[in-house]
Amino acid sequence: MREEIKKEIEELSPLIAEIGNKRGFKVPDGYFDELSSKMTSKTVDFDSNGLPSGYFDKMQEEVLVKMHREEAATTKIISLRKIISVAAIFIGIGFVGILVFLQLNDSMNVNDNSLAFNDIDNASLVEYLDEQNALDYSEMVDDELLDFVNSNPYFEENIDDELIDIIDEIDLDDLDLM
Amino acid sequence: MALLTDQEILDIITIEPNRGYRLLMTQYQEQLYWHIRNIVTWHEDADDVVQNTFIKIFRNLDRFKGDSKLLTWMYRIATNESISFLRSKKRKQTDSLDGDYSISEQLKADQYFDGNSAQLILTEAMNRLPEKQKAVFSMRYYEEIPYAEMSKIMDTSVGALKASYHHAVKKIEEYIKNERRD
Repeated sequence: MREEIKKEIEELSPLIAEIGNKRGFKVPDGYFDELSSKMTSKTVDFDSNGLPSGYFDKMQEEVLVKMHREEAATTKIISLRKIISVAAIFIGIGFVGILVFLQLNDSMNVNDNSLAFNDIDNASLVEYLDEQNALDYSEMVDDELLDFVNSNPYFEENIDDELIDIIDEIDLDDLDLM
Repeated sequence: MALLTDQEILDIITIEPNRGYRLLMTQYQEQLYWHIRNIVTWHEDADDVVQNTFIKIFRNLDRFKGDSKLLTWMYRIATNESISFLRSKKRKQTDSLDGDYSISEQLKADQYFDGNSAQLILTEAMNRLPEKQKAVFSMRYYEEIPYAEMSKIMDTSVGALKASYHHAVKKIEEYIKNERRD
């Protein structure tokens, strides 16, 4: 394993690092030799006009199939409410992260009014985020979060190792993001 | 066989398409196959997806602009095909008997898997991830692809990929710990 990858996984999870990155997968004997032949039979042969053989014969069928497929396709609409809710949860996480950061930097000056993050259990954190009008967590899946984070310029600038560490501090299972 | 450059392959395809396609396949089929296999897990599924991937590559080569390496562009097609395949398979599997058997049990019986128990449980954990996240984890952990390269393949920011990978690792670790406890 390359040193950079090994170091990363050892820091994130020594348990997984110990397993290593061999898969235990096999292929049938001669598979790759036969694959080329299989594909050759599927490869388009070109006629003297430079068009695939039988092109016009197949075109009508392909167009009809494509039309039916497009009619059957459903468009996934991400509602404005969901976008606002996802933004709210990240703002909520960021806000809590800032509190953690301030608390860690001010650990010598704990007083009755200061927020002791260690005293906040996960249930309270979920309740706090709920009060911020965050979304129905059960609707969120990681791929949608990934897409949202990727498409939002704010996160392009602000997703860094520190924020990742802050997010990692929160038990995401309690937020029902699985 | 000495490796051909991207431009050499493209030039051959322009002059002799069928020969060019065969050369392209011979040069890259193993890399693409294993990339796909790491995401879809089963040899039979990888076989389907890699063939569909090459057909898509051949049909769309005229759209390759040369603003990335040819292999990066092909990896993007392969990744998208793999993710689409997994989503389609999930939709079809609601009534299938396969859903009644765990991944572990299916893998143990699979003739194209000879890993140890730890590799088995890691594969099972990975199969529980959402499709894109599974692809991210696979590319980083198994294929050791740098984030910058992965960003071009998945058209996703480095930051988002890091967050996704970190989260995937946490979920997999939690699953393995729970399984070992039982």
